[in-house]
Amino acid sequence: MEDPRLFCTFRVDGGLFGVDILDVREVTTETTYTRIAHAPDEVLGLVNIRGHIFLVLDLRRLLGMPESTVTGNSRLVLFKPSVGSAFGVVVDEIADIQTVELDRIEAYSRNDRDIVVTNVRHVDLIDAVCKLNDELIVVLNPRRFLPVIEQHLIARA
Amino acid sequence: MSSYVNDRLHDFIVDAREHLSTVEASLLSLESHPGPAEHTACVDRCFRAVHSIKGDAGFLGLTPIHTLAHVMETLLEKMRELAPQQSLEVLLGARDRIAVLVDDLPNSLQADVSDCLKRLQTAIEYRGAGNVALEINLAELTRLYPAGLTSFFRKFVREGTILDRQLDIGNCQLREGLPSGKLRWMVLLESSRSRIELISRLGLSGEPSETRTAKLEIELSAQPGGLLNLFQRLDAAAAIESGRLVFPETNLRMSLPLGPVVWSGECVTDLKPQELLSRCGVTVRNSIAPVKQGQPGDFDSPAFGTISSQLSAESVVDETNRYRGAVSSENEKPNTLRIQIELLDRLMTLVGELTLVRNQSLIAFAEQDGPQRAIIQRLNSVTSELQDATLRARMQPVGNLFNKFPRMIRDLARQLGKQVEIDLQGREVELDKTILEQLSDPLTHLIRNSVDHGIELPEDRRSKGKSGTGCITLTATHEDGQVRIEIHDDGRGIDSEAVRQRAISLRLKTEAELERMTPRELFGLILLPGFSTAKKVTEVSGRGVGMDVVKTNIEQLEGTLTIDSVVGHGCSMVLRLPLTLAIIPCLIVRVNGDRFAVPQRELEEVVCLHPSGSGRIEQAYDTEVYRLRERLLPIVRFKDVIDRTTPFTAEAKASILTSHPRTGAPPRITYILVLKLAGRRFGLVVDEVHGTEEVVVKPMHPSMKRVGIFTGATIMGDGRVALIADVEGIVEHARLSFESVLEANRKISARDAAQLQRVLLFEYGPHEQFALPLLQIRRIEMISRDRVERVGEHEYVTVDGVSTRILRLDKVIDASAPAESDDLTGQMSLILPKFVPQPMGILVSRIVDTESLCIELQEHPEQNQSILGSAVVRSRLTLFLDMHRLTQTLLGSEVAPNSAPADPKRPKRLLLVEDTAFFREIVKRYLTAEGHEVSTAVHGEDGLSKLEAGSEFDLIVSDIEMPVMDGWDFAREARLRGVSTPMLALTSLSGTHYEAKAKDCGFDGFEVKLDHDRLVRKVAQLLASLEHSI
Repeated sequence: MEDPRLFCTFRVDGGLFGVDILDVREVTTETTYTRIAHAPDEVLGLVNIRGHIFLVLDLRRLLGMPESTVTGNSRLVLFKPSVGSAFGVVVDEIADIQTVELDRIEAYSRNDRDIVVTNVRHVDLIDAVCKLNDELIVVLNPRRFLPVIEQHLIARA
Repeated sequence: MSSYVNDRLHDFIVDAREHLSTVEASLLSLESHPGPAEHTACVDRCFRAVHSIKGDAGFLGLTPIHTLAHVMETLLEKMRELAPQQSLEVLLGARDRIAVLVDDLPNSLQADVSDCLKRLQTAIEYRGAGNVALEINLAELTRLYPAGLTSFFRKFVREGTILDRQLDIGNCQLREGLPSGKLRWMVLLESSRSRIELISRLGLSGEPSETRTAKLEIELSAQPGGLLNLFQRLDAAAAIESGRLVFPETNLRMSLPLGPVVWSGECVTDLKPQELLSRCGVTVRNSIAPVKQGQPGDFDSPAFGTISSQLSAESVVDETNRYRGAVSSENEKPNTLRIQIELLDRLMTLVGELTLVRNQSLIAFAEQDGPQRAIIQRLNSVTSELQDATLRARMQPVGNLFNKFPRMIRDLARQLGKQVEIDLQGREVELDKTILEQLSDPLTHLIRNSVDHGIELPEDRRSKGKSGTGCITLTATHEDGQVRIEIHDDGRGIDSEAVRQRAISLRLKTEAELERMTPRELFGLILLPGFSTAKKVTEVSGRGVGMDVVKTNIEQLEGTLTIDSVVGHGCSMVLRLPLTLAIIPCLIVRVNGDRFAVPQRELEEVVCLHPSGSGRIEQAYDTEVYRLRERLLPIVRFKDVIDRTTPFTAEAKASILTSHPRTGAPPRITYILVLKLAGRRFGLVVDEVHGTEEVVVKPMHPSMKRVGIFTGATIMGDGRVALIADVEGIVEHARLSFESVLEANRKISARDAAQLQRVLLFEYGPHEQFALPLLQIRRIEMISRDRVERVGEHEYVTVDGVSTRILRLDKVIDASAPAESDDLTGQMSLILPKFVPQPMGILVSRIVDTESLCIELQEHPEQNQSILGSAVVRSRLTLFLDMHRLTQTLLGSEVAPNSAPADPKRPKRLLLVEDTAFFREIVKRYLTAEGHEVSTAVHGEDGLSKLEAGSEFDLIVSDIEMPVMDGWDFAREARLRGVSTPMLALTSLSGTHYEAKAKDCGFDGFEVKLDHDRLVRKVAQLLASLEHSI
């Protein structure tokens, strides 16, 4: 049997979401951003993480949820360069690292839109759904995040 | 394609470019007719480089390049004997073709090179005159020509033209008698015969055999006969002087060296290298490559290019070393290492990070005095040095850029029929890679200009007593932390008179403005768009485009360009560039609470508008403007740009205009950054200015590239990110219309032209506003009320250690006195006038501003001697004061009347030529008061027509700076027309230079505006001399 997958999970607007742990570079508490005028709403700004500048996105806005307010529990999840150049998303609260057997992971395709995923409007970003004993993890594909905001900028022009 | 092949291809490109530059350099040296020894060395060097390219190309299956290189080799082989000019031309062409192919490798396989091959083939078959290098043993000659050498030389000179010659007497002391050893006469002959033919015709035995040092390179792995055998034979044939083994890059921990192992060494031998190789029975890779090469695609011969392509980038050092001797004089020292740019960038980032840590530690330990302090200080200095060193790693020698110019100049000179030499200095000076890359275009342009406009045709040069060959010197030096690059030519130089004429005909400047310019400023005009003094447009340059682009390019690199020239002797263009662009000085500003960095390269000045000040942002058509020194500056508010994500539309502009107050003082302190962009200027309004900082530029996040108003980001000292404004992007976003402002500016300047008068506006009492010409004011002094002393009726204050009488306007004219409360503030302003007989100052309750006006003075209803008249300025009635009368009134009792009317017999008739209504009025009053009859004219032409009309005048007083016809021309013209009336120049220009010029033009006197007493005295003097002369 294949090895189980590991997900870095976090909460956004009450729901439990996850991204593949192999895509995550680090999780930090740094939440002071420099706003970028003219950037789409999903962009919170730029942050300096030890000499590197990262683009910070608001995961709530990306998923089509109400705008977030940064709290003490907010965390910044930074992704590896393989996912997209120097960026991360802000989540409401970080949760556990979950080990999930492959047979519990269900790919999420466009046809499954009727499977209700709580309050997520932009379902394109969803990769799969994992059913755990007590809860559902919505697995996101971070590779689709940056293209979303690039599209917004192109659409404006 | 596999990554292996890709890597090989990449290596090939890098190597081939190096080889190609060697080929070019050696071909160019061949062209300058070197001596025989040098000739051979050049051909050899070129041959080796071509051979390397050929080997690599063959290995990688790049057939067109391989074929070209192969045929080039054949031609080069032939050129060892005979090097006609045409062959050089063809070879250069072929080199260029290979360069093109190398630049576009993917398509090179389909490229058709048949035309180039054909030209090469024709050159190979060419039998015309060419250069033959001969080495003749004189000892042999005496044997062959027993009748004496003269008979030989007679025969010899018939064979062709001797281009160069040299006598080699071997190693001996001439002091100890005539040389006994070999005497070789080395000669370069231009002849239609080949070398072999020549040798047989002259009856020579051919090349004298000679002991010499041969450099050898033997690829050991390719020797079938066993190494011991090889070296035994080699030892027998020659004395080995030095030798070493060269391995390909290998990790010896992993395995033995893979790939070819090369023995490289020098040996002393009588044999020619080719003979040496055959005698050893080996394939020897020697500095002279095997003559016969296989067919394209034939890999049998171990061409060393093949090897070099198997060496990785790090061993380039070694590779280049093999060329030493032949190449080192031409290229930079090869003790370098190729490093990936990404690695350098990463180093930069880490250094930036370290700087931050340093900053934080400095703050954290600032309070402490313990041993940490020393440690932190050490950290501080090490970090700075590290940052410096990392930046230096991005540097490249300018030689890399300079080396392309000799070829360019040669081609250009040929095309234009000129003879030009180039001298490159300071090739080792280093510049940031990015700057170097972007410098290529502007520098190319400037050099083309020098060749085209600067250097004259050979016959012109000779007729001027210069050598027929022009010289262009390119010098790079360090100067005050900048790099200075000078392009000097010894050509015709720039004619400043032509520039002047052109500036006038383009209406860029008035003659008076040009008068005041330094030569360098004058030459700077050439850099304006559309300005070209070339009399004819050539293919190369002269269309008047370009120099402005050059200037813009250089300014984008934060550099400057200045021009110096002496007519007939040449011209120097001096570029000054920063060492790097990775760190740029920025002005840190705050808008909407966010910090931004604005690059200083575009910043000209910062204007601060204070709510209580007089500066106003006004509105003109669809844009806000600010009046900055008589020019309208279009204004963009950074906040508006930030708030609107889409480029401004007409509606957006309209709504922006309505959202800002139309007139009136700014609600709070506002800063306007005056920014310059490709010659256009605009103002960017920001909330706060924090000062300047050197920031490390980080590129914008790739997903945010479409946000045009920022160029990048930087990390500030506190660790937060700040965005760097893109000035050009902001203008673009705001759709700033420079045209409407230009139009408005044109209107202003057309109306006011030279008649503008700068005055100081001030208030005294609560009601009136007054004005005085700035020309009559020395300065304004702030005094505190308690320093005023009273002496009887008079008030005095000490200014500059001199007791100065205070003039209260309400005492001398009918004006309201300031309310007592105004005086209680403790501070007062005192206007100190120029040209007064006694120290005095006019007390003022408030200085309003200075203003440039075109004044039409009205008669003031309550006419008073001290009031010239009135005008409405800034929608207020303003009284213009007569300084002289004020003084007189104040000091009246103490000062005797200035002068009695000059001549009681007959009033003198004076003509006053003055464009400024204000001065016309004052001067007329002064002169009328002296009892003269004064007629006026508004400019030179008007004055001439007054003279023509037949009016008789005793004296003409004329201004210099006037529209239509200025004072210089007026005087010259009047004198030309035979007017002998004395003339007095009355001007704001001062200096002996102008005085001399005035004399030249025909003026009899020169007076600087506007001292009443001096003027009156001078007029009296001139009139008196007239009396005497009559």
